[in-house]
Amino acid sequence: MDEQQIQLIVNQLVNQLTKEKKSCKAQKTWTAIENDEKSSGDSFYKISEKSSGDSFYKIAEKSSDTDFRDTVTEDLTDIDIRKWYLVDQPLKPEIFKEMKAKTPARIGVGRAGARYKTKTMLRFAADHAAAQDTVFSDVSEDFVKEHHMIPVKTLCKDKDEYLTRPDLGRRFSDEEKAVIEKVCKKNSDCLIVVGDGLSSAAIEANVGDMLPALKQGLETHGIHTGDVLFIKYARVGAMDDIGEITDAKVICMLVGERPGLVTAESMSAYITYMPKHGIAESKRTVISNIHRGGTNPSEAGAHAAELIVKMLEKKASGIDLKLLG
Amino acid sequence: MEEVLLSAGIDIGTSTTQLVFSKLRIRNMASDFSVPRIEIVDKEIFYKSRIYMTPLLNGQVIDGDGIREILKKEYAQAGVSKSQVKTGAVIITGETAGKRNAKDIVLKCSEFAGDFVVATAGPDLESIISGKGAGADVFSKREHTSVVHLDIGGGTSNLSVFVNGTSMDCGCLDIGGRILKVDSSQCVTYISPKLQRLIERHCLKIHENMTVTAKILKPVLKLLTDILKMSVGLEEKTEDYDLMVTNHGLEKNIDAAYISFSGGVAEYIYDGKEETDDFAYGDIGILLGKEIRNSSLFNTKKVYESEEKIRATVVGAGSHTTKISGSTVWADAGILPLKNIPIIKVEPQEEFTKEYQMNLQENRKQYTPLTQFAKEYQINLQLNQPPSCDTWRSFTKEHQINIQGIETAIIKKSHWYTSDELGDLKRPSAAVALTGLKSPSFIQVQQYATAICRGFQSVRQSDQPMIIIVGEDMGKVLGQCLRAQAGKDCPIICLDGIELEQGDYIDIGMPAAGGLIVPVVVKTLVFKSEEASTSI
Repeated sequence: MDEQQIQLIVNQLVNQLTKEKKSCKAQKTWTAIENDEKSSGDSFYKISEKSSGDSFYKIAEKSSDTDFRDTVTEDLTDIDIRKWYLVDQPLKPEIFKEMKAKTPARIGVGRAGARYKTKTMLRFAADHAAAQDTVFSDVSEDFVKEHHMIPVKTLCKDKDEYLTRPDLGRRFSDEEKAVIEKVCKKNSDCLIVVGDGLSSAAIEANVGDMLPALKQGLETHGIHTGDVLFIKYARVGAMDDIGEITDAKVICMLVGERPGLVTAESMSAYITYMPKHGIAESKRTVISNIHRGGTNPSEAGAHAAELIVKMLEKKASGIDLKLLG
Repeated sequence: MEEVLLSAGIDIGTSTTQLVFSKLRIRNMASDFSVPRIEIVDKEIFYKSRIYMTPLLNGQVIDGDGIREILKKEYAQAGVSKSQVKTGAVIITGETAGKRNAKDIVLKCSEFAGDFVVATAGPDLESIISGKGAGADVFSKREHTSVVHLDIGGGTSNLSVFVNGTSMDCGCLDIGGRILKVDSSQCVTYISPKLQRLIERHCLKIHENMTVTAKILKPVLKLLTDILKMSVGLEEKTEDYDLMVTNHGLEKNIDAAYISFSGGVAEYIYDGKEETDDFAYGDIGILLGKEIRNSSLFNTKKVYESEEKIRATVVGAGSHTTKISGSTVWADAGILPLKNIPIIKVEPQEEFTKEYQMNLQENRKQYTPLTQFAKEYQINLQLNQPPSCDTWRSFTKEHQINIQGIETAIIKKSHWYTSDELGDLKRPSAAVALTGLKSPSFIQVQQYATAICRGFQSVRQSDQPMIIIVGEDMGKVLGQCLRAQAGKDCPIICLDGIELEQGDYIDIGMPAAGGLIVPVVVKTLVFKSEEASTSI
């Protein structure tokens, strides 16, 4: 099935939806979509008969007299997949419920004929869109200010260059280097930096909880961290450049992970002892999957703090630290 | 990374005393890129002792030296020394828990058995331990079903119900194989007081010093079996049932799909063991087993054959009592191990604000009978309602925790433990148990820390440690917040991943797995003689 066909089906569905909506305003959109599930088999064949030139947007416009537009804009990604039971007649509902609770993967989603249900397809598209959005959006300046971070930028001019030229996302211009030198103390025990990486949503969702937990954890061990840098268009390797500039013993970088279809808000902490240009990736310790449904950011901050203390004590990070036990 | 914790289990029961050693393997189940998640991955019982008759000096006193001898011999035979034993439990069960020196014995045994072998007693704990030892919990989880388990020992029958691996209900009856004893010429030498009353009520002609046969005892056995049927809901409860209940029976009316048995009597309920002499052990155990087998108790529900029968309780004590904390905890290791810590449970209605509780109730994991869920499921489908959206967003996170409530609860409940109720036990300060939040914001964690510090301020003596146990994964960050707020000098233990109830006691062992986790045993300390003395 190519894209055009899919588009046709979607149009057809929306058409039907609109009609049903008009006939039964009280019911929610979901009902309409579900009903459609049963007839969607037919509509596929009807498409060739009718000319369905109406675009999605036109329909929305046309039916502005109904509450259709409001319900369509409901955020599909708000629904917890683990509690979304789409199988019509599970043999053992209790086990189905348990199975669903175990994973956010798209299992037990039922089917319409040999295909996904419309709900599943729309959700997939919505998750995909959210993932794309988060890559192409920026961490807001207000957020950076609110958390008292000092903004700097790598050599990348814009998002496109950031995505196509990973090497530029690891280096700073001379002017930016001067800012870093001014902000960060030389030879400090630990520097904390935040980089947007591939998910600005991850930064905005988690930094607010992780940063104070991390700082407090370090403070309890007598390690004081200075100002926190915020790096725009940052790759993990950007910490190496900062290591060269500041000679910090440990740098901890919080960075947005490449978004997936489960969550677009997952953040990682990359922690390296004495990062320098050309350092092996195996020398970085990483705590990944920091988000509301994974490792919670407050607890991750506390855990990272103890890791950093251990690194300073053992003078190593990554695989080296593991080998030292 | 794998580590082995050697665990000892000792069961001093009404009729038998047993010991097992098991190896608990713990391993980090998380990937290298995540926060560690240490779990007990395997429990292997590598030594089972002989089954001894519990040595008694007379009807009221346990022979402590006798028990010590048994343990000494078995430790030597297993090639295990006290220092190797890292965890485990001594449990004193059945009628033996009512003997005059029960507390003394169980405490001394736990000292003898290992530095962190826990002393326990109490019918509820006993029920759950025996069910787990029999494998009923694992079976119910594997088969997604419900099991009612009966551990029929010498003096008591312990009942437990497991649904999908979780223990949902428990109870205890004074029915066992040795509540009526006979000598070699089948002359009755002992009838337990409760059985005596039961016999009198039904005007049966059975008394001490009379010679009995299986036929004469038949009505008694039928009565006992009927009471067991009542206990699992197969028959209407009568006054006979009330008479035989130890502390309480099953209360939640869960209609379990399966039934299983353990304890000495169970050896004669399932197929296999045959004895030509019905009175081979000088009691009614064999006859009771046969009676149960031929009754509707055995034939109505589906039957699960327990992995362990006579050894269920000791296996449970040896390998199912130790839990391990979450893998991100805060523990000032210098003050560990700690024993016999009473729990101050901050109930959810004290911990959270009202509007949060309303949301919590919707999401709370509750037991719904299978059929009910199926019904709800169908309704849900018919309405085609999407499941509730993220409830967290419906109000701001700052207003979920009831700081004042937590503080008041700690102050109020601490006073329950100021009297030195454990007698000779050296008592550390009580531990505060909280439910916690699934993904708390940093501000929320600070709110918790503030509430706890304020609560402790007025009740804690300066040298006492602050012990906090929280259900959800937030132990490390809460520990750090407490450290920041309470100052450097106060020893702090802050564990997560363990859910507790008011009335529980816990023991906390030495950190394992490179300091990431600590073993914890949740237990009860109820000696029947105390119960009796307080009720009289």
